[in-house]
Amino acid sequence: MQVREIILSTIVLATMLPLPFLSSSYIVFLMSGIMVLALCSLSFNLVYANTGYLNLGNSVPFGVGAYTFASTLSYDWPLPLVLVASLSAILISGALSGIFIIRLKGAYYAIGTLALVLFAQALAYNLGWLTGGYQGIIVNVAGGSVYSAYFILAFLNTLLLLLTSAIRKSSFGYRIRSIKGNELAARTFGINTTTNKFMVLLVSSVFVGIAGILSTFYNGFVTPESSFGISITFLPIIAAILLGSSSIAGPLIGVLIITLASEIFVTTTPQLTHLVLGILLILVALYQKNIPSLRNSRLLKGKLGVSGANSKN
Amino acid sequence: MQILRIENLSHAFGQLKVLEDVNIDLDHGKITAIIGPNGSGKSTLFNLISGVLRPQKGKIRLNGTDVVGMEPYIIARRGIFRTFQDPQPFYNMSVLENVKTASLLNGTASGEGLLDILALCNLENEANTDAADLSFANLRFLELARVMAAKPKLLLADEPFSGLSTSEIKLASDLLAKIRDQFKASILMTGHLVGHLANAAQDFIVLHRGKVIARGSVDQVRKDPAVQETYLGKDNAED
Repeated sequence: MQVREIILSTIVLATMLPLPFLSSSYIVFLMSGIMVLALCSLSFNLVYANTGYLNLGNSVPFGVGAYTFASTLSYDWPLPLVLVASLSAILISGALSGIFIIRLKGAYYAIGTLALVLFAQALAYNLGWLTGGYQGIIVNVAGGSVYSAYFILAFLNTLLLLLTSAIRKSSFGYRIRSIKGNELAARTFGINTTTNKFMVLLVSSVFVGIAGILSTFYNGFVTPESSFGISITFLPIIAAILLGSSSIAGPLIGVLIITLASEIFVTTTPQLTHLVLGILLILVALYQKNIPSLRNSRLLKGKLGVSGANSKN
Repeated sequence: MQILRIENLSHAFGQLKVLEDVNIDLDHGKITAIIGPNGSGKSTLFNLISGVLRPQKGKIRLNGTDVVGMEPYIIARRGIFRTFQDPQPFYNMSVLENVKTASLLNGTASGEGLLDILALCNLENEANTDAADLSFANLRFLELARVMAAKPKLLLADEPFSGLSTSEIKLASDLLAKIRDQFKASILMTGHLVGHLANAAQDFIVLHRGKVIARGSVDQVRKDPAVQETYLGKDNAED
C-alpha cells in the first residue's frame, strides 16, 4: 500500500515537472504555494501520524526560516552565508521549541506549541529593527524566480515523501510509532520517548523552515501574517487530517483540495473564503471520529489511559 | 550477588501508605510470586522497580546498582522488563510490529525469530492483526510475547494469569518457565489464586497493606499464622 502511494505521488510530481514550460506564471505561482503548504503538511504529519502529538507550532520554524533569510539578505550578506544562517536559525529555534514543549502531553502539548506561535508572532511585530514590524521585509534575490523555487519545492516534497516512507520501515519509525501506540509501554521497553519525540520534531521543523525560506524567496517579501497567519499555522494541519493522517501521501492531496477550493473562492467570492475554510475545519473536527487513523490519536485520548504513566498502579 | 535487592522501600500516595519498609531479595533464575489482596501494594511495587514511579524512600538494587531515580527506559536497558495488569499494547501496531518494537533494544534479529515467539504464545494466526482488535486473552499473551522478544534478565509479570481460562493459565505458566530457562531470567509475578501460582512459582512473598508478612514455599506460606489471619482466612488455609 505504501509502495502504491509512493508511485502515485511520483506520478503527481512527474506531471508537475513539465508544468512551468507549458503554462502561465500564475499557475506556477499557485502550484508553488501549494507545494509550500504541502511541505508544511507532510512535516506536520511526520510528527502527528507517528507520535500522535498535535504540533500546532509549525509556523514557528517557517517564520524563523523566512525572517532570517529576508533579514540577512537585506543586510547584503552573500547568498551562501544567508542560507547557512537561515538553516542554523531553524535548527536552533527548533531545538529551543523542542526543549520547551517536549515534556508536555495531550492537549497541553497542542496549547504549548500554539503559544510558541503567538510568541514568535509578537516578536515579529515588535522587533522592528530586525523584522520590519508590521511592514515586514521586502527581499530581492538576484536571479530568484518562482520557477527555480518551483523545482526546489517539487524536489523537497518528493524527498520528504520518500523519507517519511523510509522512516516508517526503520527502527526509528518503530520507536516513534510506539509513542503514539502507548508511550508508557514504549518507555518500559527501553525507548527514550523524549529523545525520539525531539528528533522527529526537529526533522519536521527543518523541512518547514526550508519551506519558509523558499516562500520568501519567490514571494519577495515576509510579514508577520505571511509567516504566522492562519494559512501557514492551520491549513497544513487541516490538509493532513482531511483524508486521515495514516496515509503517507494524504497531506499532499489534502493541500491540493484545500488550496484549489480556496483559490476558487478567492477569485470569485473572496469574502466567503475564510467562511468556507472555517466550515471545512468544523466538519473535519465533527467527523474526525469516522477517520480511523484519528480514533487512537493522542488528542482524543489526552491524558487518559495509555499516556498517563502515574494514573495507573 | 542477587539480581534484585530491595531495601527499606516505602511509598505513599498522599496520606495513604502503599508500601512500608519493604525488603525483598531475588536470586537469579527463579520464579517468585507476590500474593496479597487488592490494594496490598503489588502493582505499586512493580511501578517502583520499573521506574514508572519514583519511591519516596529506600533502595532498589539491580545486580548491585541502585536504580532509584532512573528513567524507565534506562532500567529496561539493564534487562528489566515488565508486563502490565491491564495489557498495554502499542495500539497502532499489528501483533508482529508490537513484538518487533519490543525486540529493538536487545535485537532479537530476524523476523523468523519473532514469528517463533508468536507461535509459542499461540499468536501465530494473529501476526498481522491490529493489537487494538485482539481478544483479552490474546492481549495477555501479547504482553508475554513482547517481553520474550526483549530477552529479560528480570521479568516483572503483573497478574499474568488474571482473566485467563485454566488451559490458558497453563500455557502462560509454561511461557514463564520458558522465559526463565531460555534467558536464565528471574521472574517476579503477582496474582491472587495461590493454586495457579503454585504451579509456576517456587517461592512466595505475601504482601499485606504494604508490608511483607511472610515468605517461603507455598506450604510454609499457607501455614504461616500471620498469613492465615490476614489474607487466606482461617477457614481457607488448608484448601
